[in-house]
Amino acid sequence: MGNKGMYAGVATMLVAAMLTGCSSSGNNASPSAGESAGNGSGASASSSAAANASASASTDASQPAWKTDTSPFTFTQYFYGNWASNYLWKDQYAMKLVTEKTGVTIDRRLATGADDDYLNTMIAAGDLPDSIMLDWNNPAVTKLIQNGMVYSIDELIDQYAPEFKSQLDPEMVKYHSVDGKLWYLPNIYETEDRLTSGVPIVPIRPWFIRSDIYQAIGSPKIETTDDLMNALVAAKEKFPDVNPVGLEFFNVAQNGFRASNSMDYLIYSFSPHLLEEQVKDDQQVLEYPMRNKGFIDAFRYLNQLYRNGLFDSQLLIYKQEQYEEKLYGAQYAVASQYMSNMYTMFNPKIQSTVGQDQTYTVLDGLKANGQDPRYPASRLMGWQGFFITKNAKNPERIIKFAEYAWSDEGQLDMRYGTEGETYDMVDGLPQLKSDILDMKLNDNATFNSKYGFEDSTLLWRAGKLWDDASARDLKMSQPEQYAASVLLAKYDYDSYSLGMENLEPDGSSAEGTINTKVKDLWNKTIPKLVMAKTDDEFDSAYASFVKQMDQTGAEKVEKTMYQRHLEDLKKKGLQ
Amino acid sequence: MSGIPVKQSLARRIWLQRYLMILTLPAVLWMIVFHYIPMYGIIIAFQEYTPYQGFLHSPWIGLANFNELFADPTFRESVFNTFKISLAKLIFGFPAPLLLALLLNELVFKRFKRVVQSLTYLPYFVSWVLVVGFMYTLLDPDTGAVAKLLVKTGLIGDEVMLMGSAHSFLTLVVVTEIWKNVGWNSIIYLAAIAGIDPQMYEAAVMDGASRFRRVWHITLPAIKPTVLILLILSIGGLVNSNFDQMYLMQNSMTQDAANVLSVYSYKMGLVSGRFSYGTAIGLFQSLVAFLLMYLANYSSRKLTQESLF
Repeated sequence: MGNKGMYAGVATMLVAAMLTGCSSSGNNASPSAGESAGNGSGASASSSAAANASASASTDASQPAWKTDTSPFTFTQYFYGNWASNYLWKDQYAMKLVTEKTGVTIDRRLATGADDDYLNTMIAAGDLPDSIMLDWNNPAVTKLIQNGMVYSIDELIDQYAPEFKSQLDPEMVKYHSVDGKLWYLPNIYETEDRLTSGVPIVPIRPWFIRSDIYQAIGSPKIETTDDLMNALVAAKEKFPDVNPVGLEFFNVAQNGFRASNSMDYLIYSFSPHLLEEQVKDDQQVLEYPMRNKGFIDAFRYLNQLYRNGLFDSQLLIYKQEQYEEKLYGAQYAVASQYMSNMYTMFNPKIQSTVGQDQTYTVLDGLKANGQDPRYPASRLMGWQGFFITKNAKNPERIIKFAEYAWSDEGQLDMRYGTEGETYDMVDGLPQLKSDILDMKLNDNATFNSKYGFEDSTLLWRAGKLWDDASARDLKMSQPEQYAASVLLAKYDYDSYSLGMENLEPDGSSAEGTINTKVKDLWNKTIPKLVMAKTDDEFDSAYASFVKQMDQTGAEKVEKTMYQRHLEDLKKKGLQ
Repeated sequence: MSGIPVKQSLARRIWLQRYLMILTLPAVLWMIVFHYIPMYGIIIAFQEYTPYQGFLHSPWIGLANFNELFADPTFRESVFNTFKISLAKLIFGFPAPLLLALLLNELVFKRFKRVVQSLTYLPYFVSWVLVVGFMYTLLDPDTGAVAKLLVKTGLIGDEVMLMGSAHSFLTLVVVTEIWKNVGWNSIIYLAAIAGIDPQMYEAAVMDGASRFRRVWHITLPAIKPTVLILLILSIGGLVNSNFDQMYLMQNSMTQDAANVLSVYSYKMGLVSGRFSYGTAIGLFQSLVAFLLMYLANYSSRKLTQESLF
C-alpha cells in the first residue's frame, strides 16, 4: 500500500510535466528564418537542389517543372479543419487522377480533437508534417514564420520551379508577403471581378421561414425587424409546439464577436455601417464592435424575442449538432443556416422525412429603424495557405507539385476530372456530366467518396472561368438557391477598401492575451443580455461588461487592431 | 515468508522478491518514461519559450510568468474554483464508496450483491464525453426525461436550464462524479473488508452486538488504514479537479464556475499557444498538490500513526 501511495502521489505531482513533455527534436537547425531554404535543411539537400534547379531551368524551360519527375512520391499534410473528412485521400477519382499524372499522393491528416490545440501541440513539439493547409489569418501563421518552421515559397520557386513564378498573381504575392517573402500559397484569392461574376455572394447566414407556417399566418410581408417579431408572435399562437426561432451555436472564441454566425443577419440590419464606424481615425483605434450601439441593438432584439417567449435560451448553450438535429426535424418556425446547406442538405431531408410543406423559404434582408441592411461582401483574400514546412523531406517535389495544382490543368483535374469522361466543355466552360452532377446534388456523400471533385489538391485558384462555371451550375441545378442568393446579394457592398482583414492580434502576444479575456468576458455577457428580464437589467449588464472590458485593457487591443487595419490598407495599396 | 531471517543482503532480498519485482517493472518503466523524463520540460515555465529555439536556447525570464500569474484575476478565480469543487467532491464523494461498500457487505443475498456491484461500477467505464452528452439530453428542459421528473417532483422550477446555470453547476458536478466513480472506488474497501477475520464477527454476535455495533466496532476500525491512505491521496488530489468533466460541462453560462486550474492551463497553454504561461500554471498546481499531500500525510502520521511515507 505504501509504495502504491507514494507512486500515485508522485503521479499527481507530475501532471504539470505533461504539458511540457513535448520533444523538441528537429529544432536544432539554423534559426534564421530569412535564410535561404537550401541552407536551412542541410548540405545534401541544398547541393542536390541547386543541381536540379539549374538542370531543370537550363534543359527545357518550356516544360513545367512537375513533369520532370513523376516517380511515386508521398508527402504528409495537416489540414486545419477537423470536419474535412471529405478531403482525405482514399482513392477517389480526382485523387487517383492526380497520382496518375504526377506520381504524387498526399497523406492528408486531420486533427483528432480541436484544431488549435492540435496545431499548437505540433508547433510546440516541432513535430510538423511535410505541409500544412491553414487559414492564412490564423494566429499560428505568425508563429510558423517567425520560428522559421516553414520554407519561403518564393525561394523554393526560384530554386526548383522558376517558371511557376509567372503564374502567380503579382497582387496576391504583394498582399500575402510577410517581410518581403511569400511563405504560403493562398487558395481562393479572389480578384476584383468576383463581386460581379460568379455565384452571388451572401456574406451572412440567411434566415429562413418554414413554408407551411408562413402560409398559415397569412404570408405577411416580412421586411422589417418589427414585421419579423409580429410574424413570430403569430406563428407561436398557431403552432405553440414549434420553437419560434432557431439560431446556430453561440461561442465567441469560435465564431468571433457576433457569437453565433446567425447573428450577422440582425447585426447588419441594426448596424448597417458597423465596419466603417469601428474605425476611429482621430483616436487611432479600431473599436470592438461591442462598443457599437447598433451591434448591441441586435442583441437587444434577441432579448426582446426572449422576453416575448420567442427565443429558447437553450440555444445559447446548444452545440451545433443539437441545433441541426432539431432543424432536420423542421422544429423551428424561423431558422438560420448556411445557404448552400439549407438547400442541399436540410430542405431535401425535410422533404423526404416530414414533407415538402415543411421545407424552409429564405427571408429577405430586414430593415431596422428605417434603414436598409448592408452586408459587407469583400472578395475573399484567400482561405487557407499551403505551407511547406522545414520538416519536409523533399520540398523540391512538393513545390513542383504545387505548380501542377496551380496550373489550369491541375485546376480542371481537381474540379472536373477528365474531359469526355467526367465533364464536357460547354460554351467554353467545363460542366460535369449530367449523371455526376445529379449525384452531386442528390447524393453528396456518394459523390464525394466516389469522385472527390473539389477535394484533392485544395489549391483552388479563383478566376472568372471557375466563377462563371459555378454560377451557371447553380442557376441550372439549384434555381431556388440561386434566386435566394440574388435576393440577399442586393444588400452587398464591397468592404475590400475598408481594410478589415486579419485584425486580431496573435494569441500569445500581450494584446492577444487581453483579446482572449475580452472574448471570454463577452461570451459570458451574452446570456446575461439575452436573458435580461427588463431593459434596466440589460443596460446594467452591458454597462458592467464595458467597464470590465476597459479594466482588462481593451484599448490596447483596439490600438493594435488599428495598426493592423493600416497595415491591411497598405498591403492592398490603398494607403 | 515468515521463515525469512530479518538480516539479509540486498542482493538476496531482491532475489527473493524477484517475481514481485518483475510484476512492478512495467509500471516503474511507465513512470520513468512518461513522468520523469518529460519533467525537464518544466524549465519552460521560467523561459519565454519559442519552439524553434527549443528547451535549451529559449531566453530565460526568471519568475516573470509567475509574477503575471499571481496578478491575474482569472488565475485567482480558477484556484478558488478548483478548491471549491474539489472540497465538495471530497466531502460528498469520499464517504460515498465507503458507505456503498459497507451496505454491500451486509447483503446476505449474494447474487443480488453481485448485480448491484456490477451495476454501480459500470458507469466508471463510460467516458465523460458520453456522460456529458447524456446530461445535455436528459436535462433539456423541453425534452429531457430527468429534467421533467425533477419538475414533477417539485425539486426544480419549470424551464430551469440545469446545464446552463452556475447555481446548479456544483451540484451536477458532484452528483455525476459520485454516480460515475462510486462503484469502482468501493472495490478497494470491499477488498479490505473481505480481509477481516470472520471470527471477530462471530465473537461479536456471541456477545450480542447488533449489526450497527459490528460495523462500528469491527469493520470500520479494521479498514481504518485503507480509509486514511485513500483520504491522504484524495487530499493530494484536491488541486486536480477533473479536466474532462469541467471542460465538457463548460458553456457560456457556466464558464466562470467551470474555470478550474487544469482548464485554465489548457486554455492558456494549448489554445492560445502561450506554452510557458500554461506550464507555469501546471507547475503551480503540482507544487500545491505535493504540499497538500505532504501535510495530510504528516498530520495523519502524528494523529493516527498511519501514513504513506
